[in-house]
Amino acid sequence: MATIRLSNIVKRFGPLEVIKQLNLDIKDREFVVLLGPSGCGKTTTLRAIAGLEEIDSGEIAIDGQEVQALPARDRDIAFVFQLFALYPHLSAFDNIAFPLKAAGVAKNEIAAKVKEVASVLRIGSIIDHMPSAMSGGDMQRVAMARALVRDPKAMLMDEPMGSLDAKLREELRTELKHLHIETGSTTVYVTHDQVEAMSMGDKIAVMDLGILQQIGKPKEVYDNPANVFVAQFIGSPVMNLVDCQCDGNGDVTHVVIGERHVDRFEFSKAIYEKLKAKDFNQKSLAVGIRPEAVLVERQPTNGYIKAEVDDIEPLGPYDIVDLKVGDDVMRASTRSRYVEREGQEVWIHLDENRLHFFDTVSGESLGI
Amino acid sequence: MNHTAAPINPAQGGLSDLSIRNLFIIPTIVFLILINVFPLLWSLYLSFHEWRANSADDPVFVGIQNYREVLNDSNFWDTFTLTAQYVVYAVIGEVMVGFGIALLLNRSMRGKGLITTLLLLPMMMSPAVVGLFWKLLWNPSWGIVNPLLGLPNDFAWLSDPDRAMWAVVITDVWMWAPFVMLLSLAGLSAIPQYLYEAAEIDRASWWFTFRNITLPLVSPLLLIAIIFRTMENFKQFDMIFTMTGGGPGINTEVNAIKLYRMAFQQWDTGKSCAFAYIMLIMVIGISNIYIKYLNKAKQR
Repeated sequence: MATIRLSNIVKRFGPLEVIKQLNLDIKDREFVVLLGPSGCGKTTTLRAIAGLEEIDSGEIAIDGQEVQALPARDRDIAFVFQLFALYPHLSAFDNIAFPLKAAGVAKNEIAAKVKEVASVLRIGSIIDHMPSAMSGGDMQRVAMARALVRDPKAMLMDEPMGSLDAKLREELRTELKHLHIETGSTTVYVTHDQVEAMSMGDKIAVMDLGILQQIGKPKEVYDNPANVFVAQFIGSPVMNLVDCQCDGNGDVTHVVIGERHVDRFEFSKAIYEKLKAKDFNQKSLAVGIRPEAVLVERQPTNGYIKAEVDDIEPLGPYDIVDLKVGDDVMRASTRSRYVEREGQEVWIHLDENRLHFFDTVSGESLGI
Repeated sequence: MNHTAAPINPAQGGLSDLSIRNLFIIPTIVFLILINVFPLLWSLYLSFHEWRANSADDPVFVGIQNYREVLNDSNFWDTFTLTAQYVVYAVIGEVMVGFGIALLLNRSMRGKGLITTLLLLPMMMSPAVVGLFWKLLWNPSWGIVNPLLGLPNDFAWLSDPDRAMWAVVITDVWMWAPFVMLLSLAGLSAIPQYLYEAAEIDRASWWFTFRNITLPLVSPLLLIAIIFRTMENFKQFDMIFTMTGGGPGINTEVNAIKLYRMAFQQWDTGKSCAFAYIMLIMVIGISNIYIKYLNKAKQR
């Protein structure tokens, strides 16, 4: 097992720069998820680590050794492809045995190793099946077994669950996590699914437009998004982002949203002090708040402001409620059926401890 | 108001299914029967008779005597052996050259389309023309082969009993390797790139990848090419006939040439029909063996 370090990676496809000066440090035994929308460069980054894609400049080090000039077969990493890339003319056993056979391992040793990894992944019963006779989940497990069987330095996975149905994904997510804990392999996992990222990653690296936007533990990235992109990409439903003005008259901070200047949230003085310390720009200030941090009351409550229910999405365990505050719409998540009907008047407030402020021009978080 | 809609005719203005049948399929079937099915049955009938096509006598029924004569004549077995040698050499040569070129061409490169088209030219020519041209090329005193190979101008090819077969085989490979190349190229380009990436990740060497991925996946199409070339070479006539006429002596007298001589020079029509049927059965037999392999390869 190994560390992976990417320094100043640049990759172009023709005139298009798909990875821009990427730096990434992955520790031994760490499970890092590369998360981003399609076309953000995450798969290209993964393929560059594997050696399936040449980079234009920068350094890739595996276990401290520079490998950017080496072909994939000399990097000793395993790769699980999005569509599994099983050899269609070989049975599950032969697919898993392929890397061992290629390395010239003795026959009985191959049989033992394949059997062992097959039992870990619970595919013993389909070991003689051809890929054409396997379900998506089976193919995925066989592909994983093929990757694991030869003890690679690191596991790279390119949206390995992208083509599976939701129920199976949930199942495999747990399995994969356990597998990672068991094997302790350094893993880089590419996905556009934030649920996978949040649930499996030791760290999440959020990418957009070929740039690493933020890297951190799932909770850190969720609680302290570095910029507007990360704030809105992670979390479902997405974080509310509303243009606002802020002033600190007297003992309180007022955050005013909307054009009418009447919808005023009141917070402690500390908020204004912090904002002032960051030298904020009143003209490009936006407040961000996750739907679960929007507090909703059915009765007029002190310090709360009035809003009108625009839409209710009942999701089962909780409801998503669209609230009209002046010209702005904020989404809140409430207990099931707490809000009864559209058009109803409710009173809302924002959880002071979970406020985010962004500069809408730079897109950066002010780090409050 | 009572507008009744006109009956809708789907083929209005065009041909009806019936007239398409009459116009296209019936003539085809008539021609097929006249020039294929009838001769096939007629020659089967003749193969059991003693008859000469250039005589006015009626065919005389002789049972399986023609077949017995062909199979008991050691000359025929020599011809079969010669033909088998020719088929094996030519098919091996075609596969090696054709598949080799296909491997080289199976990558994205400039002018690939043009190169492929140029390489396909030989197989677009008439075999008789190829035979005549190569007869000139092989000519020891003023053909181009000897100077190119640095051989003296008395180094005979087509008139040498041992080398004539090689010259014929090489000519055939020149003409038909492109066919194998074309089918191989189709097979190779159908192998998805990600399998090669997976093999690279699995740390397989080039040779291991070739044996375990390329070859098994291209083998159905390669087998089809081999079936076609075996059948064609088994009945090879025009190219060899224009090049050597079966000579020197009978050194390149393959089945079809022997058959031609028997039927149209010796006018031994009944026996030549029996010979032709024996050939037909052999070709069908060999093809079936291949097809069995093909089905096996396809199942994987």
